[in-house]
Amino acid sequence: MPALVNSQPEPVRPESGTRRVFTREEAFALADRLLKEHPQLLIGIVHCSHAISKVSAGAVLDTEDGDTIDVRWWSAIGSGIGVGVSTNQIHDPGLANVFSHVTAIESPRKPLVVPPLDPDDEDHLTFRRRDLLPVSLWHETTLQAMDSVRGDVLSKLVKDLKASGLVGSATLGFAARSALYFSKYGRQAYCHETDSELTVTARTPDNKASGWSGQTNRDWSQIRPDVVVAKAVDMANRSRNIVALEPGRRMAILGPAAVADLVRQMAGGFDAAYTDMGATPFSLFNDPRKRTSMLGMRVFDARIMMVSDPADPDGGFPSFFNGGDEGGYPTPAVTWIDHGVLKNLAYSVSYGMVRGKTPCVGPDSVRVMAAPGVQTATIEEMIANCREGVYVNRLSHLELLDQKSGMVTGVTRDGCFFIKNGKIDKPIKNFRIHESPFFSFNKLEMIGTTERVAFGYNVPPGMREWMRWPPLPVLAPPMMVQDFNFSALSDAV
Amino acid sequence: MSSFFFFKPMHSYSRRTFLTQSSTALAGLGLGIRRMPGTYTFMQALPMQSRQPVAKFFPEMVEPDHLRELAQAAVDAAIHAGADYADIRVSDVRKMTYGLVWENVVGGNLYLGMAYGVRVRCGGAWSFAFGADLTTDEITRTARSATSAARGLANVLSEPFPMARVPVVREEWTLPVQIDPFSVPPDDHAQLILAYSNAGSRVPDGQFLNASFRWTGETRVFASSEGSLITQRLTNVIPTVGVRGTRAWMMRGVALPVPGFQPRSAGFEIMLGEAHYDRIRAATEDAVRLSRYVRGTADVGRFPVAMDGLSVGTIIRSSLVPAFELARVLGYDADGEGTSYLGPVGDVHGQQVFSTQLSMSTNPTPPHYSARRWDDEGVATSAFPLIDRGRVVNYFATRATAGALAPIAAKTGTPIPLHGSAVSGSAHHVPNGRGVELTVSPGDDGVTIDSMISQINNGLLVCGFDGRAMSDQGLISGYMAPNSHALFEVKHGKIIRRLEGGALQFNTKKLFSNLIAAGNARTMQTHAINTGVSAGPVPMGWDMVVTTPAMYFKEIDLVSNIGKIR
Repeated sequence: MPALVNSQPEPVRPESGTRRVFTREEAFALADRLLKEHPQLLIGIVHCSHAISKVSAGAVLDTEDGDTIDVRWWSAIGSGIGVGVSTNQIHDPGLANVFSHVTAIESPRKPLVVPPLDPDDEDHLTFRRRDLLPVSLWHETTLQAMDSVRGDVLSKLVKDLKASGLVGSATLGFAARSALYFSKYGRQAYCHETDSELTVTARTPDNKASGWSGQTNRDWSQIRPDVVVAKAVDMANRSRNIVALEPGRRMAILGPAAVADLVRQMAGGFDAAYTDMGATPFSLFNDPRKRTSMLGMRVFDARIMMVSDPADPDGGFPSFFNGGDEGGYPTPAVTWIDHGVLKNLAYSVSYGMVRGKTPCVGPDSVRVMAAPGVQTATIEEMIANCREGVYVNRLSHLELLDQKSGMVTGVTRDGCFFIKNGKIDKPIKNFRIHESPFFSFNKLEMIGTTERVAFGYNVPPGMREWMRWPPLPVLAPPMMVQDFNFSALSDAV
Repeated sequence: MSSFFFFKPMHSYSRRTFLTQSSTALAGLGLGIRRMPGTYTFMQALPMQSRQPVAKFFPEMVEPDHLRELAQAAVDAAIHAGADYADIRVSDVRKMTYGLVWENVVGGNLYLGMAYGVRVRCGGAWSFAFGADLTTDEITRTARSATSAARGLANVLSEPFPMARVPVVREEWTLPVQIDPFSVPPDDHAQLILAYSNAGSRVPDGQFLNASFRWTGETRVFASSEGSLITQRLTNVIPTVGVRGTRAWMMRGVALPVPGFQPRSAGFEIMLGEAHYDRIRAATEDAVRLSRYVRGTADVGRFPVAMDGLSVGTIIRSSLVPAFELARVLGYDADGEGTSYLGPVGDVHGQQVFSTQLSMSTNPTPPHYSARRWDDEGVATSAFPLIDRGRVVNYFATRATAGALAPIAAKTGTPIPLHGSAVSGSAHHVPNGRGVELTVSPGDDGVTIDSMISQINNGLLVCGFDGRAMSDQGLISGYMAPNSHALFEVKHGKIIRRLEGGALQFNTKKLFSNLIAAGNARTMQTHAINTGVSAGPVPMGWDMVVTTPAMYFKEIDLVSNIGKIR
């Protein structure tokens, strides 16, 4: 039986009932109880507790506290057919009726459109009895801060933003989360984690200039609210009196947030199945050696590495698949890009079975960094080495346009500057960008030190049950890249 | 990613076999559904083949009286703890989604959820707390916790606007339905989908692409410390039905959603009837016809563009409707999604911002998807215009933000306009002023898509684009990449080819100022977006439904969307 994930102490049950999430014992006991009559099912239990506060125009708009429980059952394990039930109720005895909706579907599995492969079966040794990597994602400091520091932090935020003479908006959030996947085959995976994030947007009263900054960390004690506020205010003040600059391909210095925004769009490009189908930037066509992917080939600048490690001390993630009938399968640490060479692709459990590959989750959580031995540069050094270019603080509203090329579009936001002769020359209007990070990472000029990046709270209404917030950690460095495509001016501030 | 994507069907029928067998369709089980022998579904093996309705798979609904007691207890607890104001939404929700998961296989999912969200105000601070455990102890503890959080922040803050006053309401309302969808056996849901599939697949070179029906049944109770106590029983459906032409190479055929299958607050009866089969056949024939145009590469430039209602709906949803959210206008979401170009209110209200051809309104009466008598703040809902012949005349407000509309009230000499547009995605969410269902008024009777195309000497047609148009943090600009599935070149009044590698880029205000003509009522189509479609077995996302006529725009930039990386 696979080992359970956490070697950390269990969550302490605080006085406030909304701050706790299921401990390992509670989650297992619940799974036992819910599967009592239907042990053949796979169950997933995800319990999240959030405390989110929003500040705007010098006042706290609202705070949102609470917890959500999501319990799901699947029957045809490995089939990929979406059959299941889900609920946020764990006590109602009538739930047995709901289970029968799934269990009744067990019988017609033979005529299904997919082979009834069972990844836990003895025949699929690749997937059996692999231990889960131990990870440490739980910080008591964050849990305690949910209650104890919010008032103080918000009071100071409001005061500092008012003092700046700017109109400030901010989001302060804490989250605790636990997840358990449990099946009759002995698949058992549990993990609990905490996270916190503070983002601040400062705008001039005339709404013509804006600055943004953010920090996020699984351990709240590592976040420096005063630094976040000061950086956002500074960025907004520097952005006054913007001028329009002709769009076009230019040297770009991308701040860590801008790089991370692009990196988030890249995860699908590493999908093995899509790559083999010819649908990603790493697909190969008409290869004389019959290869379908660029595995082993250099695809990025040789100074770049991309690694996903569940035990990453600056981020990390649960070391198992999350969601769906593959939930709970172990995922290892993976090096995707090593000195610019494509080393691995992401195999789902089912596709891994077909191809005989070890399954691993894609680089949704990833560390992009300079390869060992590569000299890194600060943003200031990049600016000093730039004859003419554009500094981008962050990007917004990015959308993947073309999976085959990784082409994305979006707009620059909250800090965009023209650089001339090694200095910031002037703030400029935002641009719409139209670029593929798979292309940009081949045109690297300089690379900086990696840090975890905040993305801000923009979970659409109705999505809290499903979306993870803060998002899975992405760690990115600032980068200076050539020929970045600023395709049009954007009037948005 | 679903693993079935990578496997060949083990027991799939050939198309010929499928058509032969399904052509002997029989009448359904008392609902007029064309049952199809020779096909199988998961449901056929289930015990509910014995006519057990879906509702039997769920626990009994919670008694409304119990929900009301809980709601009242929470409000009382908050006031007792020191809140100036408190309100609560308590809900019991059941959802079922049945859909085609593979050519002739139907899958289904059920969701059971209960939730509550307490909102309190202390001094100038608001606090919201939510949970799912419907017990008196838990709900009152949550209410006290929310009050405590607000009280802790009250001394730091000043409230931007006083809360708008509304009448106290103590009433119940049930949305009228003829056939409760939860009283229908799953097998009938499955057979209906298979019958629709059959209708589309029988068109030569046509393919039935997808069909899913997400039904929601909900009892929602609202209570406030002002004395309101409202119970509403709601039922709605979000159907998705699509067809495609040229099934030989599936990625290259034109895909079209079938008109008439639009989100509604109604019962199972709206899914029945011969008209749906006719629409499926007609849409499939349209898709086949459009698929036959040769494909070419787009040349960039600025062109007049005709768009069908569906494609216009994607732009309106992404760039126009959110701009009317008062919270965005006031900058409350500047650190999140962004702001709006329709501010300040005093400067923009009543001004001619768009073409006189453009009028847009919202209507929360049945069978519109957003139908309900009171919103999630207990405010009576009513139909109201947002754009009147190009002029901005209203915003989506809540009681907390409506104070910002005081300039309108002063200008017009009327009370502050509050139309009941506070919406919580579920009881778990803070009520926000936003649009759920919008209708753009049709134009003159003589304006059709064909008449628009006939006016174009060198331009474009966008037709059947059901994807996402993108915007920016200020909603000022937009980007739409319809690709060869939905982008056509028009020369001398005729469609000549499909265009690959092109995308449309626009400034929102300029685009709708350059609107030359809106199509007639027969060109009206509904675009429905559900951001949670791929997020889980039962979508719970943010829904918005936009019904618009086709439109003819003076000019839009066509830019290259082709990415070559090596």
